[in-house]
Amino acid sequence: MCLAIPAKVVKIEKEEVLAEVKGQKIKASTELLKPKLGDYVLVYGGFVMDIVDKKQAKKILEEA
Amino acid sequence: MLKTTVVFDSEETKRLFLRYAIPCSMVLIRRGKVSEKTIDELKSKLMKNEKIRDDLEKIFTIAVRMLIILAKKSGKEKIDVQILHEYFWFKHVEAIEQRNTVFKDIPVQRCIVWPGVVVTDDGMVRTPIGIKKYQKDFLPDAKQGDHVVVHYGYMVEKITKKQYDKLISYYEDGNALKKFKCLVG
Repeated sequence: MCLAIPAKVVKIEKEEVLAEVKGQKIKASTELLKPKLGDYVLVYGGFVMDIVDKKQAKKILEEA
Repeated sequence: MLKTTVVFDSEETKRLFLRYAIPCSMVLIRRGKVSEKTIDELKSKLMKNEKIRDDLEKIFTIAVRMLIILAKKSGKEKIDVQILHEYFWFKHVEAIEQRNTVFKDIPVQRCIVWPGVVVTDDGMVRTPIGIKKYQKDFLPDAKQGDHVVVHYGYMVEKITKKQYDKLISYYEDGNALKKFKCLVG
């Protein structure tokens, strides 16, 4: 659970989003949560699992 | 949207979940997601066999949500032991692999749930990443020759020889051993 990837939503599609982290874009299903453009999300196992604030996302990124 | 309700089928399943989840909860404490006190209370209740709170999703958000997804995909209303195993033994590795493609620098070996054989009664376990001592808090009666799974420095549960063989072949087929630069013991 500590292995989720924090990323910023850069594109919204029908049932998934494209989120960017460290210059990489990852796809994540929005089956559970529907984030907005610019939101910071935690991606895990191909799903958006949580929406977090920028501060939290940065903290997780700094750890890695 | 998800609502926090009773998502586990029994106290037993909840307890087994905590045995997998508590070992790496240090990370959640460090991130400020949960307090050390909350984790200590959970561990204490687990050890004393007292009732575990139902809102584990608030603490272990991502793991519980993944379990909910897997249960739903299996047509189950609640998380049972089979779903726990599907997650911690298999899907968990896939998620680690995905994270590893973005952040290559984190030491993921200890994050993986490894199958192992207990080699001494005081807690030495042989897993695909070598022989190492593991905490016996959750499995105080583990004995030499027992098949177990370990996670983040802890022995989590005993497994059968059949389950052990299945897990070992999963790691070998999936090349996880190679990917994570592990030594085959």
